[in-house]
Formats: sequence, structure tokens, C-alpha cells
Amino acid sequence: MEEKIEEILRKVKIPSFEDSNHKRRLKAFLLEKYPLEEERYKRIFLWKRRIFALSSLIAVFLLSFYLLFPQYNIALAKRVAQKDPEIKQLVSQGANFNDVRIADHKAFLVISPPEEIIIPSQLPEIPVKTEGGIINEKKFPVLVEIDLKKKKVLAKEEVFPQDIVSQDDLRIARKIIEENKEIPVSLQRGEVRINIPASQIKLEKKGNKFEPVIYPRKLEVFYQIPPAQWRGEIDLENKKVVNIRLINK
Amino acid sequence: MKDLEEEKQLVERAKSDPEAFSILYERYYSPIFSYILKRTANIETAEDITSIVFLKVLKNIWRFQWEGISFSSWIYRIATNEIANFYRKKKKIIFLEEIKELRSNSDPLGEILRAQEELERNEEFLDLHRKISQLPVKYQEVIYLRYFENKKIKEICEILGKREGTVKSLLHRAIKKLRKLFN
Repeated sequence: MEEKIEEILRKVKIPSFEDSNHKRRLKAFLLEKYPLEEERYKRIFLWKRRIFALSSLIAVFLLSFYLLFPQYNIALAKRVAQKDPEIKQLVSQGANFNDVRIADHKAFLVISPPEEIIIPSQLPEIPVKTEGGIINEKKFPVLVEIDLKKKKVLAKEEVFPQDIVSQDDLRIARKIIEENKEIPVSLQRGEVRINIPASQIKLEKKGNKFEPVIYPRKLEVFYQIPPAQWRGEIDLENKKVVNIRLINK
Repeated sequence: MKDLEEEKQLVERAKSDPEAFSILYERYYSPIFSYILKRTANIETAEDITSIVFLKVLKNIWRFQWEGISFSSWIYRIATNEIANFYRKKKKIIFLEEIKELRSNSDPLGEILRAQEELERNEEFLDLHRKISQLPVKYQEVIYLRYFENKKIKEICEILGKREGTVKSLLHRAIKKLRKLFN
């Protein structure tokens, strides 16, 4: 039956008609319109090109402003910092630029030593800050402030463990270690040392300044029963010790 | 293939040369008018829709790019869309201001009326047209393009902007539905 329908469709006599009058009038009408339409298209095309050029310009501007400009400023800040002899020396001894922040034509950098920063168990013994140059011997991070316009180092100061880890945090860390049931008692009896992982020292905006903080908020913990040594992480957020592993038999 | 290449060049020329545009017009007026006439079975309506189609061709030819669709399929697509608009608006034609002006110069009482009378003598076609008109527009489109315009499936795909499988399935269902109407 379907074939029959197709046959009907194929064989039906289709009327053919053409109004030559309409064809002629329409052609004349279209040809009369042609120059106007061509003009209109050219105008639209021109505007499209202008809009495209303008948007490209805006895109380039935004790209440089948000992507390239900060990168340029970061590179500039590092360059200026390394002109300072003390910073240059630190970098040559393995110190890293941990974090760089830009604000109001100023750059704030935190440079940290290659090794972890040991928090002495007796905090009062931590050296007090002195006026002037960098006093520690590559042991503590350094916070540097740079004027990007004048391309010069405005200030540099040593960051002591107590600037990064508060007494409260340290107390919490100790409590976490003591209360952790997963740690074998034998380990707890050994020597326990808490360190700040150098690579985790970042900058955080506080008011008009940037201050060093640990991010993520994790400290390193070392358990020692000589000659064996274990390393773990104290997660201050979740209040637990994680990833304990033997690092030295 | 050679014809296609020649038409490609003609279309490009038509973007800056009214003479080339008029060659394209001469080439496509009859098939497009005939297609619309078969779809609407009304001469006046077919003329009006044809006018709209060619005005749209003129307005958009500068934007036409021969990519994935031939000029022929493009112009059939415009016509198909305009016919669909006509049915969607319950057989009312939404005139562009320019076309109104063109229409007022026509002679409906003369040639058109005579032609309409002649058309109405095609009983067999009109009966079939009435049956097909009862189908949803999507089925009407594939039937007219395949059986009355003798378009290949690939061309129908280009005109309707649908995949081959969809067109084949639409055709199959259209014939099935039409068979029910015959019964």
C-alpha cells in the first residue's frame, strides 16, 4: 500500500504556471533594491569590522591587564628583590620565592629557606627581631616589600616562627599529638618535634599589608626514636595527625 | 560538478554585480515559484511568498557562504521556512513593507484569476494537496521536496537542516500517515 502511495505521488500531474508579469515586476523591484541593499550590507560589514576591532582591542587590554600585567609585575618584583645583596645571597643558597602579591604599585614577597623551619619547643628562646638587616642564617623566611614604581626594596624583615604559628596553634598542635590514638604509644614516648613546612608559607592580606601564614594549615611533626624517624602532618583544620610514615630506619 | 563550480562563482559575483544576481534570479524564479505553488495551491499566495523569498535572498546574499549548503538548497530553505511561516500564521502573509508596494502594482483580476481557475481544474492534484495538507508541516515538507521537487535525500537534509536518518524516518512516517488518509 505504501508503494502505491509513492506511485500516486510520483505520477500525479502537477500544474505548471508562471505569471510572467509577476516575474518581470519582481525582478525590476529587486534590481532597483540591489544598490541599497549592497550599501546597507557594506555599512553593516563596516560596523561589524569596527566592533570586531574594538572587541579585540578590549580583549587584548583585559588579557594584558589581568593576565600579563600581574605576571610582568611579579617578574619585576623578583628582579628588584634580587638586586638586594642579602636577598641575592639567600636565593643563591637555595631560598625560594614562596608567594608574591601585588597591591597599589607595591609588591610583597615571602622568601623561605629550602629546609623546613624548626619551631623550638621552648618558644621564648626564639630569637627576637633586631633592627636592620637579616639576622638569621638562612633559618627563617624573609618578608620583602618592594616599590614597583621606584623599583626598589622598601623593607625586608625576618619572619619568625611565632609570626606564622601562634602560641594557640602550637598548643592545639601539641594536644592533637597527645590525643591521637592512632599513633603508637612507643612513638609518643620518643622525641617529638614540630616544624613549619617552608613551602607552605604564603601571604595573606590583612588590612593594607600582607602577612605570612601557613597554607594549607598543616604543620610537620617528627617522631624520633633514634635512629628511626617518622614524619607526619598535623592538620590544624581537622585537628588530626595524618600521613605518618617512616623516613629513617 | 562543473555546474556547481560555475554557480559558486556566479553567487560570488552576485555579491557585487547586479547582472549576476539577475542571472541567479532567472535560474531560480520558476522552480521556487512552482515549489511554493504546489505547497500552497494558490497563485496569489505563491506569488507573494515568492516575492518575500527573493527579497530575503537579496538581503542576505552577502552573508551567504558556500559551506555545507549549496545556493540551491539555501534558497529552497528560505522558501520552506516562508511556507512554514505562512501556515503557522494561519495562512496569513506577514508582508514586508517593500513587498506591499510590489503587490499593489499587481493585477489580481486579470492573469491571476484566470490562472487560479486553470489550477483548480487539476482535480487530481488538488485532491492530493488537500490530503497532504492535513499532515503536520514537517511531513508536508519532506513529501513535496522528495516527490514533487525530486530532491535527493542529501539535498533535503541540506534544505531542512536535518540528518539523513531523520529525513528518511520523516518520509517513512509521512507516507504511512498519508496512506491512512487514503484509506
